Amino acid sequence: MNAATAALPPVLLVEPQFVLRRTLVSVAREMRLVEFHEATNMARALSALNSRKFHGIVLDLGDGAEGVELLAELRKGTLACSAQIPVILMTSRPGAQDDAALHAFNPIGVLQKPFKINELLKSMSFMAAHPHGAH
Amino acid sequence: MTPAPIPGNESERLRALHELLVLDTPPDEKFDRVVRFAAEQMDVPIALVSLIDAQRQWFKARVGLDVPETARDVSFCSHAILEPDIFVVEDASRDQRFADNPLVLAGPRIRFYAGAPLSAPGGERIGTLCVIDDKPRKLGLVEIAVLEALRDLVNDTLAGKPDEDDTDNRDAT
Repeated sequence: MNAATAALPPVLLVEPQFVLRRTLVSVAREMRLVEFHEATNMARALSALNSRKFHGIVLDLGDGAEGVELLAELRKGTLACSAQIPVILMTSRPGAQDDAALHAFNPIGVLQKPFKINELLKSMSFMAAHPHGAH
Repeated sequence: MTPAPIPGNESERLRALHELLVLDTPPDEKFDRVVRFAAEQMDVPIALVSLIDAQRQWFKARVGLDVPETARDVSFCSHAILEPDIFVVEDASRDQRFADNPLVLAGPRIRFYAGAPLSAPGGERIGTLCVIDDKPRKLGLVEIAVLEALRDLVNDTLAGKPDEDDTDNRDAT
C-alpha cells in the first residue's frame, strides 16, 4: 500500500468473479473511495475477517448457503470485527432485493447482478458515512 | 475522412504486436469476458479488443460486431493509439475526421467511440479496448475508471500474466 492509498478506509470485497472484482478494486481506488481487500471465496473472507478490522464488507452471497452463514456469524458477533459492521450484498438470485430474510441482516443495500458499478458506488457512499464502520 | 497518421515508432510497434503471437488466434474467454463486461457496464452494443496491424485492425475479442477485422484506414482505433489517454469521439457524424467514414455512414453506424490504448510489455501502443454506440453520448468519470481498469486487465492478459482464476484452478466468471 502506498501513501496515496494509505488513508482510504479498508473494505473487504468478497467476490469470485475475476473481472468484476478487479474492476471494483481499481475503480474504488481511482475514485479514492475505499481500499478494497479481496477475497475470492468465503473461506478466505472468514480468514480476513478474523485477522484484521475493516470499515465494511461488500459480499457476494454466491449460489449456496455459505454467504448467508457468514452474514449470520458476522451479526452474532463471533468474528473479530464489529457485529454492526456495514455490509453491502450482491447476488444473482432473482427476488433477493425483496427477501425479508436478507434484510433482517440489516444490509446497506442488496444489489441484483448484473448491476452498474455506479450503483455500488452509491451504496459505498452510505457505507463511508456509517457510524459503525470504523469499529 | 481523415485516416490516422502512422505512429513514429511504427516498426517497433508492429514488431511488439507480432511478438505477442496473438494475431489470428482463436477466441479466448479471458478477452471475451472483458468485452462482455465492458458492453454491459457502458450500456453499449459494441465492445472490442482491437489490434492495429500494418494494414488492418483485427479483433481479438468482440461483442456486437460480426466482422473479424476492418481496414486500418477506416479504423477509429488507429487514432486512439496515437496518445496514451482514452480517445473519445462523442458524435462521429459531427466530427470532420469521421463524418464520411464508411463505418459512420453505414453499419455499424458509429456515433460514439471510446478507446483505451493497449500496450505491449515494452510500452508500444498496439491496439485498444474500445466501446462503440450508434447514438451520440458522453463518457462519465466512473465509466472512464471502468474502461481504464478493464484496459489494464487486457494488458495483463496480453502479457501472459495469470489471473487468480488461473491460480485457483477454476473459472469463476
